[in-house]
Amino acid sequence: MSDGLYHDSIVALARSRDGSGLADTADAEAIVDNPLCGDRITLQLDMADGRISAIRHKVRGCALCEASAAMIARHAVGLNRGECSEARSALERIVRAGDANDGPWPEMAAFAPVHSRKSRHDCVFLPFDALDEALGKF
Amino acid sequence: MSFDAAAIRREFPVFDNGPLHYLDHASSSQVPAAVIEALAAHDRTARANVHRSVYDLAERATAAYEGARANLARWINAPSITEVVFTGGCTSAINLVAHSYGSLLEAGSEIVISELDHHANIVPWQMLHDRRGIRLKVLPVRNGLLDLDALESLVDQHTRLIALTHISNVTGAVTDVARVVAIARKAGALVLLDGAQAMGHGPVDVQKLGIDFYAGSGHKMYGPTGIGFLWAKGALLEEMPPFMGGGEMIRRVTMEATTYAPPPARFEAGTPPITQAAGLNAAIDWMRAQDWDAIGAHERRLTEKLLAGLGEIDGIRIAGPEGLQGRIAVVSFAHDIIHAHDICEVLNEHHVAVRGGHHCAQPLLDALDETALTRVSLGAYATEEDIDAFLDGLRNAIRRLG
Repeated sequence: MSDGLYHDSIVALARSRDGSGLADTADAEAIVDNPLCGDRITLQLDMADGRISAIRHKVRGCALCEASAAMIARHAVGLNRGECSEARSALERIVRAGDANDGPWPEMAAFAPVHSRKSRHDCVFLPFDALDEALGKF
Repeated sequence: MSFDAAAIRREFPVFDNGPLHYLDHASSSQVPAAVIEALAAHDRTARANVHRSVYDLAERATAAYEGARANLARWINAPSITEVVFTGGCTSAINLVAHSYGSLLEAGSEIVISELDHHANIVPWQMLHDRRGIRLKVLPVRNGLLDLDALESLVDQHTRLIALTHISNVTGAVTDVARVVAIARKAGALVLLDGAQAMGHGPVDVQKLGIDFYAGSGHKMYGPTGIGFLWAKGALLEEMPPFMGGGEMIRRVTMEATTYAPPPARFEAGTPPITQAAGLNAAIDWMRAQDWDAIGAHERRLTEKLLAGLGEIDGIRIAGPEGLQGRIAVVSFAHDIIHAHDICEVLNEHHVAVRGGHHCAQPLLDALDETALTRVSLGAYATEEDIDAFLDGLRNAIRRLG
């Protein structure tokens, strides 16, 4: 069952479209597909002194993917690759392991119900895959 | 034979486990009790390897396996049981042709494939192209349908094979096979059909179709997973080299050289799907006992209701045929705002099982300029209540997420 999967916080986060919209140029860009469903995210980063100074994205995917991308756009500016990886690990504990209910970013708690829907885990992490791939280009 | 939707549904034990509106027949059909019982009965009474031993149990296993082959040959009207090769599935069958028949093709040969097809009828040919330099020509999609007007110009003296779907797993559109065959014959080309979808909606006659290769899948025709088949004209199979090597497919092995068994054994290396064959045999018996004209009419009525219901909802785009002409009971659609997986997730709360995503047809979705589609596909066990539950669930998804 997907009880609570689409609660108000997730829907609001997805609909916020925070960070949505690409620029003509970026310091790095990653395009990542989910082979299971064909969803795609294009994520652009600008960097300053090894830290993210701007994030833009275009999501062609579900509400969970949109919500995850919006959360990243809200919180990853100012972080370096290691700190982004730590944030992802925290979300992995919530979504994949199911042994935590919240993380360093307040919106992470909204993804807790996804734990019971294994087929949807990758929807949440597709934007993180793109973030890591883009950061890996520096 | 008369048609009783409720009676058919009662034959499928999966519906005894609580509410379920199963509208994902195109992914995998449900199985009647007769198939489940045949699988168990085989392993209780005839479980042994085939073609190897002389004890009674092994004789029963061989009889079950070869009996399934004979039954399938009759069901598809194959001229000979030796033209039916059991495989692990429809994908395996197409890969078999791509490897084996493909190895006979000379440089400069061309194969026509289509944008509409399942990846199973695209990727094996791309792999053949990579291995042997066979050229691929792509039949495009126009307005969600195969553009058969373009086929004539794609096919010429270099064309060796046209590999298309019999019925689209996404749009439900039925290919005009007679037209494809006529174009192929003019150029001396062969025709392969991916019959995965067609086999789940009634009898198929490979001789009437006039094609050369036909691939099917057990689990989409009310049978078990793990078994499919290739039918090919006997002369072609005789000419084709083995795809995989191992036990059962040989005539004589020495450390210097091996000679091969005649078809179909030549293409069935290793222990075959024996128990699955017993289940498929029961599935064919079950299908043979049904009134497919009545089931077809039932599925069309439900499809009409489904299309009418979708037509009343704003923001819905149907992929492929919008009416009842030239289609089976498979309907895929996109919504302007809500992603297919989100729709499927909410529908699950209504006990409605449908599939969302690219349906292993990414080139088609690219051609349609769609990211993902929600697909509703009906089997003989579908009911009016299933369609009502689906439409209620869809409206709920749109209220919540739109």
